[in-house]
Amino acid sequence: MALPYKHFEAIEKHAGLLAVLIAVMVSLGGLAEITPLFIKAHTVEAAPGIEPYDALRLAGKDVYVREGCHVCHSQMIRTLRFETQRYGDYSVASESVYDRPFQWGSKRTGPDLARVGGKYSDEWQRLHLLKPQQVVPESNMPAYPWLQDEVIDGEDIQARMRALRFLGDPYTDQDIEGAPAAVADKTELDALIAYLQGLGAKNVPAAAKEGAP
Amino acid sequence: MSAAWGHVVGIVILLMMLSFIGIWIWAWLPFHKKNFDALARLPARDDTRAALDEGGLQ
Amino acid sequence: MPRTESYNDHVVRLFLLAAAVWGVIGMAIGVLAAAQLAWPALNFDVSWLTFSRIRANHTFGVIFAFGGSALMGTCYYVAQRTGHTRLAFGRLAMFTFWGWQAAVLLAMATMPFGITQQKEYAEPEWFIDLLIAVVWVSFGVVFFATLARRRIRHIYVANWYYGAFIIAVGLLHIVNNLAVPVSLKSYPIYSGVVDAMVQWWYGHNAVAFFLTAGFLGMMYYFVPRQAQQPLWSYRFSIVNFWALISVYMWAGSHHLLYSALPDWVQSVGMAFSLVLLMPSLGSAANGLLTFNGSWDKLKTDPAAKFMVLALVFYAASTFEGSMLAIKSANSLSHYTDWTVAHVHSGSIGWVAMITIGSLYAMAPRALDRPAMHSHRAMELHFWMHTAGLLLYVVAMWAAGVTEGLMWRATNPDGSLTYSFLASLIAVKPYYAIRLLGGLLVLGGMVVMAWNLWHTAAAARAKLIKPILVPIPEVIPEPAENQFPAPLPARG
Repeated sequence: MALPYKHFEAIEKHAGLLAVLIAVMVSLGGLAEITPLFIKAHTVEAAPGIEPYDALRLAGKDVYVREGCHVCHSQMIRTLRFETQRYGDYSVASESVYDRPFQWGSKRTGPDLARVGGKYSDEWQRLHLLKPQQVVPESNMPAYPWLQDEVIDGEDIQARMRALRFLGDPYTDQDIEGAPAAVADKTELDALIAYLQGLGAKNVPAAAKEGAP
Repeated sequence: MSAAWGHVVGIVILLMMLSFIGIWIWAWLPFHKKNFDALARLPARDDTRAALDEGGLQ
Repeated sequence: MPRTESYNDHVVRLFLLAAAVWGVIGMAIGVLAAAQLAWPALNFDVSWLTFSRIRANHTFGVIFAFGGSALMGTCYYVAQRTGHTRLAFGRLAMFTFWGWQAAVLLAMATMPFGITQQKEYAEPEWFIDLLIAVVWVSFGVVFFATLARRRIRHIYVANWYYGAFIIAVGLLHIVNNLAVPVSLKSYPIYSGVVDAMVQWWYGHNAVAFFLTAGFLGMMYYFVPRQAQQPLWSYRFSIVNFWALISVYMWAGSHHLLYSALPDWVQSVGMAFSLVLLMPSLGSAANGLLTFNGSWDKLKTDPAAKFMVLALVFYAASTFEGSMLAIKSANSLSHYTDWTVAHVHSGSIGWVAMITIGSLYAMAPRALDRPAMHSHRAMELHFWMHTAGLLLYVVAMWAAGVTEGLMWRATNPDGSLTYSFLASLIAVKPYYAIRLLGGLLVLGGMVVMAWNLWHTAAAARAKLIKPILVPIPEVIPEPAENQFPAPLPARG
């Protein structure tokens, strides 16, 4: 019985060898491209003027992420003239250092939002999120009326800030202590508007102003 | 990209190309033809013993 | 090793059933999402029905629930048939079935309620990711243990693709989903540009290894099986295999051209995307030429028709992909519906059609029937699917080119010609046509599910006899020098 199958041992090794070789070949590309970014990310600090999200904007950013806004809105102005003409200075890497996950997006069913901060009033944003077609009749954006019903939980935001600090974002103890007061009585809608109004407005680094191609 | 990393990536790509050419030569060695022909026939006749009885597959 | 042994087709049948059910569900959600883009009132102001939340349910549903079930089922079937052996670890294999169904069900049930990481194609939160990782490792154990107990000395090439699919997807899943949980929510350990690169290394290679390598495994078995022809060139398939798996991983950065990613990474991604043409077109040619001598089957066999069209769309969409990775073409197509057209010519054209063809080829054998219940239903499915695919892809190409051109149009004085809104208004009719295409594809899936249900009548009544593994009575001793292993490392 055993004799005809004596090659099994060797064959097992072949299946294993196949697996190992596959693992090596598929790892090369990722290692080559991601490793230097990693090394750079750990040695270069955020550009001056780029601060981690304050409590309210962090809550708003997480609402933005939860609702999946990136499905239709990018936050990445490409280095192309017609892009900078439409949306403003092109996006640079240091602007998204505090975005977990990054919100560059992959499809624009709606316009890019990287520098939407300050372009519209808070009231416009509020109305547009609640009833988009009332502001822009031809828009195909869905309404988000439930955002005005949910109040931000201060303790939850503190937990989030601690997790982000653990990951290296420079929140101070005061930032975290002050979070519940900063988000007190704010709805998710308020938070999202605060986040949108900060996009690009606070974060334009000097480098982005120079030499747009 | 640092210059050193550039060399590393360049060497990796060169090695990949060489192994690709090596695999190509290896696969075209007449030595394998009998086995490969038997393997190519495997799916079409896998519910029979014919696949097993054919040379080179057991 | 016992002298008589039967194939474990029970778990294969379960995956077949799951694939049909998830196919209908995943595509139905896609149809709803398509309708919402044309008529936003269809969001009904309900949070968990809103486009931005259910979009992930569509992508996850069709890729991982439908595609994943089909891949795991056919993988178990192919590993047994090409190895002339019973599946290893029957109970663990059953665990991979129930575990996978639990993971995708949990994902589909949490994502619309905002419990999501929102990393494209990796949306489920950390607790689901852990379950997926456990199931995936078990899947790998069952697969490689089955290879280890095979009776055919050489590992048939379809299994190489399945093996690469399992290893690479495991690697991608773990690296991309590393995160710190807060509650049910988590934050990825990467941020900004690093997260972007890791995400698109994942996103691109999920396409490469889930939607390409896995389904190529399917193709390399079921195409010669259905054509009743030898594979056109076995040695060519080996060369293509190593080229495909080593080159694909370098190309992910073509998703981030003109972005804030360092330029050299963008250029490397673009260059490797062009190199990818060789293994992609090579596999497509290998599959198509396998039909040489059996082209008459196209008149009578819907499964063969699905396979041939799948290969044509595989060639077309990989060619398109490489072209769109060229920077100047990408500046036009990126962020537009052209990307959506490209993805769907790959998914409805290549992935769904090779799956459907393979399921029609496999189902009667796994269900111990001479043929599918209804031949005419298969024909109907083929024409509905093809018509739906063409409507969908052509509409989205037109929409994408329209958007791309309108966004970049400038007046003689250098100012932009169109507002963003103008481009949306221009493409809205195409969104309605796309919906029609999606409805046809979904209708075809319903026809397939009905057909499978009736084909499975005997299986449902538990009347199926296990199919015996053909084991030779006397096993001749092979001569050592006659059997080089099919691994280049030994060559």
